[in-house]
Amino acid sequence: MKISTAADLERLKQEGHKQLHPDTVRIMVGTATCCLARGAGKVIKAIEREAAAQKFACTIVPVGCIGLCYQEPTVEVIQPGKPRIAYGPVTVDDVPEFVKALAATGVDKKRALFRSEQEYSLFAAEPYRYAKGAVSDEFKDITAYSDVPFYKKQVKICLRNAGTINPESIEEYIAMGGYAALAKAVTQMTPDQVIHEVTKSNLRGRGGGGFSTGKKWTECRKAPGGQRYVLCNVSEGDPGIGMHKSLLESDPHTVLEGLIIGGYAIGAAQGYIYISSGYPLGLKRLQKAIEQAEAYGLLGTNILGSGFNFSVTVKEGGGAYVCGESTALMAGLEGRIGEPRPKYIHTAVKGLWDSPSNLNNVETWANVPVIINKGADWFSGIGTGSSKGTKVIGISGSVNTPCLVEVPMGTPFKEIFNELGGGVPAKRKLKAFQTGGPSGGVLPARMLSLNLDYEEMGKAGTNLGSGGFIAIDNRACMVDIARFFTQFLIEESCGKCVPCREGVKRLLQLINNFTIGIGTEEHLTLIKELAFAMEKASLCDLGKTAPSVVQYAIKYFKDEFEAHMQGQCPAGVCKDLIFYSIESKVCTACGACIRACPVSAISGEPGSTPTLDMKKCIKCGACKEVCDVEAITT
Amino acid sequence: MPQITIDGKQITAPEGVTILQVARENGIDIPTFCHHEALEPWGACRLCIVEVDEGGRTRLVTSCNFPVKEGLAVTTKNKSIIAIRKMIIELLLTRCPNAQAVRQMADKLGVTGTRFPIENEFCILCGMCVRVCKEIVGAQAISFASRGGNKTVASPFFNRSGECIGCGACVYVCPTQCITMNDVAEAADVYSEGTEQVGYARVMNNWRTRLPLKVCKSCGNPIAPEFQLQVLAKKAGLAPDALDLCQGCKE
Repeated sequence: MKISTAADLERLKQEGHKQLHPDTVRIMVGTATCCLARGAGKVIKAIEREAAAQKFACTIVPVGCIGLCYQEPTVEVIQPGKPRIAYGPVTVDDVPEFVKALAATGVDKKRALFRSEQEYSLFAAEPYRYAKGAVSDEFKDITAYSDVPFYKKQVKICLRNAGTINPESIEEYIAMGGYAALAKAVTQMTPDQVIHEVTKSNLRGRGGGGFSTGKKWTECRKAPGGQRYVLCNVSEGDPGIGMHKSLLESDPHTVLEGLIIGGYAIGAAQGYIYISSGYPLGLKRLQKAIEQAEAYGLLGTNILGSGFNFSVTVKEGGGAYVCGESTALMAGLEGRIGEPRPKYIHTAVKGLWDSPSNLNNVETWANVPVIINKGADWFSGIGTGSSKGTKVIGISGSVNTPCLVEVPMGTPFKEIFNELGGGVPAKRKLKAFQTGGPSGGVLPARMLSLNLDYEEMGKAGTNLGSGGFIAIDNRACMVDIARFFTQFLIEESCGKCVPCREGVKRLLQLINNFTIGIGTEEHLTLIKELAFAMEKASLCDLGKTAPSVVQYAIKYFKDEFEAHMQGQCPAGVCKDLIFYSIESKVCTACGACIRACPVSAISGEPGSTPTLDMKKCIKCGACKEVCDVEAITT
Repeated sequence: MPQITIDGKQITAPEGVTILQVARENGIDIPTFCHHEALEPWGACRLCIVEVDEGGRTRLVTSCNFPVKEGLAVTTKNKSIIAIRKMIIELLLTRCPNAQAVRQMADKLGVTGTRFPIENEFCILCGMCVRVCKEIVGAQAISFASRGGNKTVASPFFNRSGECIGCGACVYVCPTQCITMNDVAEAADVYSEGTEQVGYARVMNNWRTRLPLKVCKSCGNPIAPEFQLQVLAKKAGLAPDALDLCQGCKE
């Protein structure tokens, strides 16, 4: 069936509503990559098996990620007429008990996390209420969604449907108000009005650059030429990051809808989605989404009877970090080596196949339908003076509760770290945090007072990047962190221009001098000199920002570099500078270190302090890790 | 025609050319390593970096591919440009301390040695060989392989190239002379069963490619690689036997 009028869309909406709120029990299991890694796939099978065995009638639906990565696998259950309840973690072993509790009382209080009385919806005038009437007493002791601190701080725009809808069902997406923005854009607005709305919303590129999306669109629309392209970048390569992957896996249609609206506004008939081959599940769901949209006529010719034609092609990339750079990405799309070229003529004027092209990243596109639907004023009401809307952030590293969140711009990092990330694990101390990946910076813990804001972070010397937040505690060595990111860039530099290719290699050698204790003050000066040339002369932003982590490590953690010059690694990470010893005064002679040592370098009799043979020791740190009384020192 | 200034000198530049072209035509020297006038600008060596001022906003750009426009003010030498060029040549000198062209450029820019631990490469990855093979010869026999610190120029899969016509354009264009080819009189394939004589052949040492040479029908001297003559005859629409004689015998 093709959708050609608003009435058709409304009919589909009703169908989707029936799927979203069936007469039977709807069990929703998170199945983004993070959930699957924690065993969600097996949980689905176990629930199916158990429900059949216990004759418990239910529909089991795979959904996206609700962001509570540390509670995976998460399961949400909607019983007709009762509040929706989230449970986690529900492992395979928990399933029999879980299903039994559901079948008996309709709720498993042991694993319940929170309850929602109504559906999270940005578009519905009257959000759907799961529970009719007042909250019954049996659910009162489960925390309400609105009282969960984790969600209180969040505003979900891009992730509005994540965890609620089946990402492989277009009907459910439409039921949540999907494709209404597209219908509004192509039937009620001119392309210029769409661009005007996006410009007015002050949406800025979420890929890292933070360039005004509206301005970019305007430039591309005005560029001379016939054929135009809109492109979507799904290739975040920073270590420790997976927001865009999760977004695409949870709600591929919102990205697609944004791209189609962008195509309409810019005057492009063809869109390309460049996706890293590291995202097999995202790719599968995206392809499914495109098939469904094509089947309903939301892609193809004469979309919604407006005369607008648009098609989308998905192109798999090899996952190179540099292919996040626009010109390298376009080279990749053209089938050439993913190398950047100078952008003295903007890609908005001369991009893919020398035609005007507009590239935005997944998250930017996902914002577009909401801006069109809710209006620019609503969108720009969220955030700070110059940074509007929300940002999806992946919190990882040394935190109690690694998770995926969407917070308004301007949220202080302190809140992101303490209230959403759950703070630093016991017995440790936060030393630094890293944002923006290898192109960003490392900032000391005291700078958590910064707010999530393009300008403020730029002033502090880091950038928002694609939105990763990595907490670093006192067990990490900042010289080692600098080494890690430089090593990453050696492998990921495309190798075209001299300052980046040769510079990164030399930078790593210089840092390695410190990790083996032969670094000097002259080496620091040389790093500075080298970094200047790299920043100024490299071809693309990868090279220009390559020395950034190193420079900020030196700026804020000079004391650690100085300690390394003296041949000491305070954190006990740099292997060439550490020598383990066992403090006999502290040691309880439990023998745990003897059993943990993989090379039998520790020996001893029960009841006396073991001895360590440094000749055999490979400095793996396994003994230190298992010692409860911290008797092993470096 | 755009009016620009380079180092304070008023110049009327032709439409659609680069800063480097205008500078060279006006006798202003800008050092380059990956630029060749017969090839498209590449912008990889970054030695030709200059500062441009467009209505008060200054930035560093590579002159080899920056198009001139009205009112542009270009500075080809200042403190940071010199520092950057020196660092770039120091990096190249670290990579290729024994390449003559690199040493000469270092001398020219006043860099006498390097402060980094040296390597012993000869290729500076300027890409001229790859580009001449693609843009001028049209064979695309070689390309870049790997990335980052492992980047290199290679024939497909580091093996014999089926597209190489043995023209030697890559050898000719290489600034550090690290690409070589030579003609041998008695090439042979050695198998465990025995040896098979190939006769005259051209060996492209860097591309693991050997092309048998065609011998003149009349005098028996080698002319050129057989594959090259086939490609040329096809391109020029000549009869298959049109290139059977060497230049001497034709006359």
